[in-house]
Amino acid sequence: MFKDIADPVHGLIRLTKVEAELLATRAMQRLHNIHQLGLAYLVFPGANYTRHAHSIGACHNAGRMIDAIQRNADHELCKKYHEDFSKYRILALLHDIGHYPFSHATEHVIADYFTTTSGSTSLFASGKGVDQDQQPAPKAKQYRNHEEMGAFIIENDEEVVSVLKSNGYDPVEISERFRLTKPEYSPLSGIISSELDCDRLDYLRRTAMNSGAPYGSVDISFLIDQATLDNDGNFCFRGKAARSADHLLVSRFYDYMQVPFNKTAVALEWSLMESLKLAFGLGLIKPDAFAMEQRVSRGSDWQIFDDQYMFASFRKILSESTLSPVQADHLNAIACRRPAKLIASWDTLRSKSQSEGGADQYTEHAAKRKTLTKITSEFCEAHGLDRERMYVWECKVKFTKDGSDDDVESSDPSYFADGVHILDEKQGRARRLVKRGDMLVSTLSKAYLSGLRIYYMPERGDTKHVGTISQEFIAFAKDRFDLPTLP
Amino acid sequence: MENREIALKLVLDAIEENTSIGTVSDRLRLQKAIYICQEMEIPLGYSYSWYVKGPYSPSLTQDYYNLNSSLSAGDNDTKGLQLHPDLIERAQRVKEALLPPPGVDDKPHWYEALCSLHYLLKASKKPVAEAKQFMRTVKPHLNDLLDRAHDRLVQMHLV
Repeated sequence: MFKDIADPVHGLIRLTKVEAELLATRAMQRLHNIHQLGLAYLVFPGANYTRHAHSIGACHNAGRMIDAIQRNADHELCKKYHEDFSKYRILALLHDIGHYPFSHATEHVIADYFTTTSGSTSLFASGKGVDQDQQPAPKAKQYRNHEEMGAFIIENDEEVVSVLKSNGYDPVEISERFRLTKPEYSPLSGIISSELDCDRLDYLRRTAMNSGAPYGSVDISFLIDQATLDNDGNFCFRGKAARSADHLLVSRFYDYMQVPFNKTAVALEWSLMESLKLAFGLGLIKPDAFAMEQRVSRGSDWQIFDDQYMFASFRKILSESTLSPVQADHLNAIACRRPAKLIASWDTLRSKSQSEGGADQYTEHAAKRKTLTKITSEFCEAHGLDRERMYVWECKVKFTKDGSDDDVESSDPSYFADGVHILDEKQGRARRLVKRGDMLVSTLSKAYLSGLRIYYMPERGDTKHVGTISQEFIAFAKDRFDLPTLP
Repeated sequence: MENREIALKLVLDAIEENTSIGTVSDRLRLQKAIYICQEMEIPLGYSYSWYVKGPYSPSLTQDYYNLNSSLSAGDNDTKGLQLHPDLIERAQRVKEALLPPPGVDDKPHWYEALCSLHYLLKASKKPVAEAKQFMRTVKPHLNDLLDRAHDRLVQMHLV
């Protein structure tokens, strides 16, 4: 039995019996209600596709990569992994099953919550000096990231376990492959988790198609067809795909800057994170690992834990809680699309510096961030503004991941963990794309985009003073800081 | 510094590991030291998987690059935060676990042996003999350290 699904990015996608059955489980249906791009659809109305559609696309890409590997790689080597191929399609389909509502924003807030919250969850001393009344420090991680949640669901969700078992798959083995805990499983894991994996190759095209910002429209079809394994079984692409891979990495940069890091999308995400903190703080949502595991155990509780669940929680807070004006403004920023306003921006391409020994550093960005944070606090004090209404946003957009230094050799643990690898046909070995002098990314890997912006949350959405605050801030900072690139 | 960077810095200070990431050996040392910290109840929240040199956490990589950048920019402001007293106590035990045995001069190799063997036993759930055999196959440079690494894991109640 097969199931055919029409998809706007890839055309007709064919799922196998086990894949179709997995797709019908509550845990996968839940992904219909988790937006891939968080609140970006409030800026790009078409960018409202979900992790459900994306998961099907990732599964399709994984299948095509596996087909390509079987065509392109050594046949004896392929035989070794033949039984694993269907498992990697399943892993691709399930790769986002553990995502929280609003995906990465929520995960970030949860991680921060358990690092900084006082009491029994904190890693830090509760006050100055030793506090006799402080709760004991936690002994284990208090929360699960989305990958750990995914592994837990694969092993414990009643429906997922049942589908896997009835189709001859061991849920524990699938979960172990998901978490990369077995060293023997590593070679093909690049299909699921690498800089050019089945996930990213779907995400870029799907975002380009849905948002209307076409920067991720790259030739993924050709790229996928060049997937292969080197003589040691490492996942890589054939030499002729180098240019296409190079193009994709550069396109990814434009995609990040145009869609997730769009000025209004960032403002909305700030309000989302503040609203999530509020929901956790009020006890409306328990973000700890035990609470999440209980949701999964109850099945339907995990199924309803989606973007809409969070919106309902935010509405409940708005109508029933006593809130500070800033808290109310953040909740209304989402509910009524009244985002904070950008008052100055210093998005700048900078060169990485090098530490002793040659590791990449982002010293200039870190120094600018520190200064800007200080100036912002001083500005608020000097102008009688509430510091809680100002947000120093920062990002570092890299063309390749950290650990992907030019000088990293295959003995470095990061060599195959990150980066794009291209087959050296003569040697039969996968080599880093950034080592090729004819690739744009070889030069760009020495640079990064240092994003620094100041946002202001107006009171009750009243934006009439924003222009003045922006001018005053720039005037206040001009003796100690560069002139902003925007506005 | 961000809170994650502060927590990482304070823990590294507590176990007396410097924050340098200049060389492959430095990065390996930090990866493995934090791995042992987490196994000894200092929960920094990093997830580890098996890579070329044993347990490796990509998110820790991002954090120590950020920490290193902050420190080199002169930002060593820990916002007045101090490590929880319980964690400082646990850090003493971590130092004991990581201390290379007499005659072992190559600290990164020792850390690699200790953590790789631990990961194979606990996360990969391999029996001791199989884990050691696997190590001998993929990490022959650590052969001389295997038995002592296992003894240390037992001594510290890590397996």
